[in-house]
Amino acid sequence: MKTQYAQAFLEMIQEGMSVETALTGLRTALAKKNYSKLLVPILLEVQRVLEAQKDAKQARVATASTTDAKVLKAKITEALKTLGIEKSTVVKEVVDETLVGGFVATFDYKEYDQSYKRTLKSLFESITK
Amino acid sequence: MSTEIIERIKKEIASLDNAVTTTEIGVVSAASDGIAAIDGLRSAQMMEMVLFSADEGASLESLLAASDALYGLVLNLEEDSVKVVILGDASKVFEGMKVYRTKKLLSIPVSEDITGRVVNALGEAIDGKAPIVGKRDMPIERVAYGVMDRSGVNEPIHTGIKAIDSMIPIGRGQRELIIGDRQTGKTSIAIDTIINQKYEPAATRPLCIYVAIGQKRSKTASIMQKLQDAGAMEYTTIVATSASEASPLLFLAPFAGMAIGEYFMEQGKDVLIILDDLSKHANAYRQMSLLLRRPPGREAYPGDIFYLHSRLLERSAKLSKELGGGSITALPIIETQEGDVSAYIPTNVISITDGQIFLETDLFNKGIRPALNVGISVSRVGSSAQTKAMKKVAGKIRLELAQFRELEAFMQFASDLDEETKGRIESGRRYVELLKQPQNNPMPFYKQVVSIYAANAGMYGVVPVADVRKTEDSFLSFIERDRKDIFDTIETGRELTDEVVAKINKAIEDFKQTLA
Repeated sequence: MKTQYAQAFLEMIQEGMSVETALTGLRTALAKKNYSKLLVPILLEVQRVLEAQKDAKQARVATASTTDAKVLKAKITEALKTLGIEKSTVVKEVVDETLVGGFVATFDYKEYDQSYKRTLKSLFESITK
Repeated sequence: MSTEIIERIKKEIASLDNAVTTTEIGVVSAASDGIAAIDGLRSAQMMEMVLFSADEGASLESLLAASDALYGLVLNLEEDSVKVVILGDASKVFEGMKVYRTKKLLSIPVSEDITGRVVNALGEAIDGKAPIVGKRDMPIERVAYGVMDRSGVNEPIHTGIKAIDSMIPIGRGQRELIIGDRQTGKTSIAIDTIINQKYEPAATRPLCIYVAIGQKRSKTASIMQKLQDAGAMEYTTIVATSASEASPLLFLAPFAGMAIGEYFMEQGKDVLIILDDLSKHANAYRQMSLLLRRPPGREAYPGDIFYLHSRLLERSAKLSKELGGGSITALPIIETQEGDVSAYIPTNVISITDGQIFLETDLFNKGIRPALNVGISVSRVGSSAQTKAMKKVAGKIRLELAQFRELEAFMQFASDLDEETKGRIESGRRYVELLKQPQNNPMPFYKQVVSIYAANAGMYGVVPVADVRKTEDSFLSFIERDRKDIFDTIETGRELTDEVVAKINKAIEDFKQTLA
């Protein structure tokens, strides 16, 4: 139920309704049906969906070290292009030492993994199979 | 030695396909009760396997040490997300976990090695023996063979139970439902049928698959022991899911059984599959559907519960000669409540199958075992598959029992009955006694034919009703010892020729003299 209410709420905002109006309407609709207790779960669901959308719209590049990030800049840019990012896309850079080397770029539920960790894991699997 | 290893690693590195491609990923947004909601995975297919990955942030060492991959099965495709059932330890799945597509529909590895083994719903060995090396990945879900790929049911599958083989014959490729209340002997009939296959010639012997759906582990273990003791395990595979397992595994079990059956059927072999039982399967599917938030319908079952069972049972078939002529005979089991066959799931499965064997508590309590209600049990296609020998003797037994059932009602209040009626009642009682059979003691069809022929010839008329089975045993032992050629001729020829009939008549006369 909360998912459907959250979806309806977001769609109304996307269609141009102001947040205040939509929120007032939601409150009234819930009170009318005696569902006021659902307001908090619905808003939490709205927050979750918005965060997920934000994460999906944000590109993420993980490298094993800051030095790697500099050395692999050209390759990372190429990878991000492959993933389809636009100029306006925010790129979040993180360091993940477990990658051993290389990088992993993620954007819009797509991943470009050029880490040593993946390569070594594939090698291990192919040998032990 | 070390040089050899180094060379091998070099070779592996050189041949390693390290091309990086864009991979589609999903992120777990919620997980509970064995179900995970995943954002992303936009191109995922229904019934596709997905891989839960705990790689992010984990050290390479721990990744290589991890033994089991955790898979999920896509069952709901929604606008922005997919819902998957977790096929394994659901506690390992956490919010934010990455999920990868495998681009493979759920399938199980099957080879000849699976015969004689006990496996789970994913085809993994659970009997403590060596892992099963698969030759082919058989899809769990697939569309059943079409009309042109099939041929008519024309070969019998003998259950070893006189009442069934004579009056409710089952053919190879048929779907015959076994239905009844709890503790009426449903599983016993199925197990007897498996055991009876050992009397079939090895070349045409059906491979048997027993699918335990949500059964107690102790029950499955005792069934395995029974089959082992009877020497039936060598041609049987058990797909076992217990009541303590997650509902998705119970849902998958009969489909896995069918997938195993199809592997052998496509090689031209005959397969017998027991689905014990579909009531529990329906309950597991209901549980899973409700957790997947699918709309509930009658008795809270989802709307596609009929389709679930029809698409499962439709996979049982007799293939045409061009496709090898293999078959899958299905014996699904349904447990009723208080004998109510008009409940939702029983009526569904009755309408899907080609007949039903109906077991009654009253008959069971009266000591008539198998507790078969011959009046309402039917086989819609099996009669065309019955052997000529059985067909010849079975006609009379059916008629005699029908007349007996009619007269049985009169017996309650009519004290004075004419001689003919009394005779029919006495004869009926003897037939009922003759059709009783102890558990785990199936009778090969050639013995059944001789026994029923003797009953039709009035041999048991001279002994008291209580002694009918004892007399039958003695008579069959007498033939086994002194006239074995009668059994051999019927077994190979599957016909009651005039010559054999004359031999049986002579044997009856000789046996009667020993009784006197």
